Amino acid sequence: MNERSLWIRIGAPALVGALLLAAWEAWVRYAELPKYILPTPSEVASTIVAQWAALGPAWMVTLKTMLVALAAAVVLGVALAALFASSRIVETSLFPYAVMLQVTPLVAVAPFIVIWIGWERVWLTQLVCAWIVAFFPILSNTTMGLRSVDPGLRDLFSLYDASRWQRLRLLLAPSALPYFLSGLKISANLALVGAVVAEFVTGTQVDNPGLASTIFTSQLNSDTPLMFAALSLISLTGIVTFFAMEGLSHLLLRRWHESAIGER
Amino acid sequence: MAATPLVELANVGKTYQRGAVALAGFDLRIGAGEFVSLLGPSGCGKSTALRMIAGLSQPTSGTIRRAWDHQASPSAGTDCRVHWSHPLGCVFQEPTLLPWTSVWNNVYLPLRLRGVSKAASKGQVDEALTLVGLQGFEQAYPRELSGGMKMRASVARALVTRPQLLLLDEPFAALDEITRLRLNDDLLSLWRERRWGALFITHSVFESVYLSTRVLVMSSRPGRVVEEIVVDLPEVRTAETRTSVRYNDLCRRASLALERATADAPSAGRSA
Ligand SMILES: Nc1ncnc2c1ncn2[C@@H]1O[C@H](COP(=O)(O)OP(=O)(O)OP(=O)(O)O)[C@@H](O)[C@H]1O
Ligand SMILES: [Mg+2]
Repeated sequence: MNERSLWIRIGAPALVGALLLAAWEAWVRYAELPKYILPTPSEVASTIVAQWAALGPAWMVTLKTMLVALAAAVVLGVALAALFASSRIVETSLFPYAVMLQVTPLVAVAPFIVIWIGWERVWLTQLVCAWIVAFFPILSNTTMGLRSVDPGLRDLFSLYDASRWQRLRLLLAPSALPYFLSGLKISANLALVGAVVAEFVTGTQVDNPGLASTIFTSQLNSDTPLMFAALSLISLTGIVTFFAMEGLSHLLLRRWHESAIGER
Repeated sequence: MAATPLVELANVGKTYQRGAVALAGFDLRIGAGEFVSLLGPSGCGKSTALRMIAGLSQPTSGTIRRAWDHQASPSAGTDCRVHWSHPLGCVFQEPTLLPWTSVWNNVYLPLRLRGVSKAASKGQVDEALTLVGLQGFEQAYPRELSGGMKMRASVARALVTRPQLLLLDEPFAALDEITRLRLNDDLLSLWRERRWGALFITHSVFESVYLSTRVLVMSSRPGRVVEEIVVDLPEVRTAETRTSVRYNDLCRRASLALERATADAPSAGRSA
């Protein structure tokens, strides 16, 4: 039963993907579309291989922006959430600004960041842009998690005179974990979006172009297959990130949290 | 009862914010080895009293004295055995177990919070689990247990520090009749063996008489003790106890007291 459902979960989407790619390939060939309008999947695949010398490093650049931004979002988001949860006044006075950071569209803020951080440090600019969008879900979810600790468990810890550190480690952290993880899931994907948007904003004048910069430049050269090649690597990154986060939260919560316990 | 009580509340009052008076002129004494039931209508302040005894909330007026308050603070001592015991155990209405860890770790928690290592706690934790009949479920997670087993784990956790006083706030109220009767019997035999003082909160007349050496009946809000019934039944209680004349007599007395206590407040208003 379990093995069969696993096969279905992997096999069914794979089959749909294969059918779609085949249909795409057949249609482009049949309609004889020029490849600067729509390349076939096989042309995209061969472009990835042929241009790997440029695409590989570009992928690494985007991946690095995304992962470092996510790591910074986790560290600062959790630290600020801890501060918010321990003091209402701090939360009340800072929360509107955190919201402001979140609701102002990144593309509107990015030019300012470019000016302030400077063209010499383009990567740092991209990093800050990606961090801005990735930061908020972790902050708000973790804050909520830290606040929603079962009052009965709080009483229990008071009864035995638990220290602040014991409370944090044995009560607050595990209680907030499911909330944090659902924030992390959103943030991981937003970090990729942020990295891509930042590359578009910083344009073509960069020494180490990422995948989105590659799309940008190849659009100027009407190199549609290369655009598709870069795009498919971005999509792949997004998909892998999504399932990695699902896997991580399943791993951490499967024994106890309702969200991770499937029907048995 | 003449010896120094484990805990003594004198003329305690508790007013919540927004002026809700939960307790007024509340007196209570629990001696070592006594099993006292607090019987009262819903909302009369039973949980409030228990929380104050446990130190989870402070009285607005009056005094609370606990036998162990005079002793040196255990955390200041260097003798590590002092850490192992905590004078107070508490079983709440809900099992309040940590859902993210095993039954064993849940029972170990009070010792862990006192800084005792896992290895050093093993004997005490295993003993507590055996006492409540949960051996074999050490590695289960709370969600894998039935409601009754969760309560057992909660009782084991309260007993693991070998408390002098055990507080129980309607611990088995959410369980079915059969499970509740069984857990009550198990609790009683544990008590006969260990002789901690116990404060058992309930709104069931039969339960209170069956379990206790003394039943205190509370009036409705603001709550205070209006009647004391000493239960002079033989110590070992069984299903036969429930059919005995004396038991039924005491139940009737407690029932009447409860009825009077609940009727008191409004009738006082009417006669004025
Ligand atoms: N945190 C609180 N803030 C304000 N009022 C409260 C609070 N806790 C309890 N009360 C009030 O105090 C009174 C006593 O509450 P308590 O929980 O002690 O009753 P109880 O006897 O335990 O009732 P039950 O049998 O239903 O558990 C109630 O009328 C309740 O409204
Ligand atoms: Mg109550």
